[in-house]
Amino acid sequence: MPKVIRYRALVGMHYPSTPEDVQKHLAKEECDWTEVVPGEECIGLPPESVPWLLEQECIEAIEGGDNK
Amino acid sequence: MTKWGSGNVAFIMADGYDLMGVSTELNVEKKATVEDITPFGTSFRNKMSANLMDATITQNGWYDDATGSMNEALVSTVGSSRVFAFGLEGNTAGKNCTCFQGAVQTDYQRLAAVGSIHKANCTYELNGQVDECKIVASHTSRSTAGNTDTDDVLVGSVASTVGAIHYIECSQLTLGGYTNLIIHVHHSSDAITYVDLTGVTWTLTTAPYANRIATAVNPTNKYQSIAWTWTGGGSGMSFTAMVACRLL
Repeated sequence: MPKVIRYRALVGMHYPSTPEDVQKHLAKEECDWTEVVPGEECIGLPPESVPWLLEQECIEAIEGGDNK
Repeated sequence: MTKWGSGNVAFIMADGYDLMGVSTELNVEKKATVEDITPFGTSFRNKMSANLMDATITQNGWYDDATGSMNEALVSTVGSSRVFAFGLEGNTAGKNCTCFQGAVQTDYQRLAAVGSIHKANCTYELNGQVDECKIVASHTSRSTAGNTDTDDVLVGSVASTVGAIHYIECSQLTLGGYTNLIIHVHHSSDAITYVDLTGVTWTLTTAPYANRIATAVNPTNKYQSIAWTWTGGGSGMSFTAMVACRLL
């Protein structure tokens, strides 16, 4: 069973709520956004953003996650 | 190449005062200090820059005594250093604009003549840095808490490793019972997920308001936006502001 990686925000963040919302946003269509304050878990974080968010120390892995 | 005209002027603002609707002429001159270094035996003069920049602004327009207009903006500030900003390429996020860290208002001229509408002119001289910026958020009226993340504004071709300079010019603020307005800048590497840019936050209780913030966040990403929230409770709130950025 693949390990589920969860992340906590280290800064305030804002991202499209679901993969479908990411596609809508990229197509310049209205979409739902999730807002996270520092310390909160990032639910539904777009996976394509994870590498740079980790690199720039905007998020950290929690509870069984890793930083790879 | 695109040519622009008077209809494309985005804003002319001094310390948050919106002078756009009462200005008719703007002349901004940036110049380098150069010294003649022509030696003997040379047939043509040689000049060398001393790496010292200067700038002057001449702003002409109408005398208008409305609240927040030309006269209020200029009458009591001769000799004061103003945060000045103007844009020539349209009031659109992503377009170029120019911001002055400081522009000392050297005079205020009121002109009256028979058969003429009264004029109000002034000049400024540089006091600090001139920043060639990108508009992060246009000078637009906004209300309910929100952000401009969907605009995907590019403020540079690559992220900066040394930081950025941000300006805000807010011409109008109605708190409507709220305690204050908080505006902060978001940045993003991929234009999908936006995060707060550390250190670039303004808390406003009155307008006109203008401010410049220099930060050294590594990296400062190339996609930027603003987000705003209202503290407390109220109704009928609104603000009109522009935010600009120069990546360093």
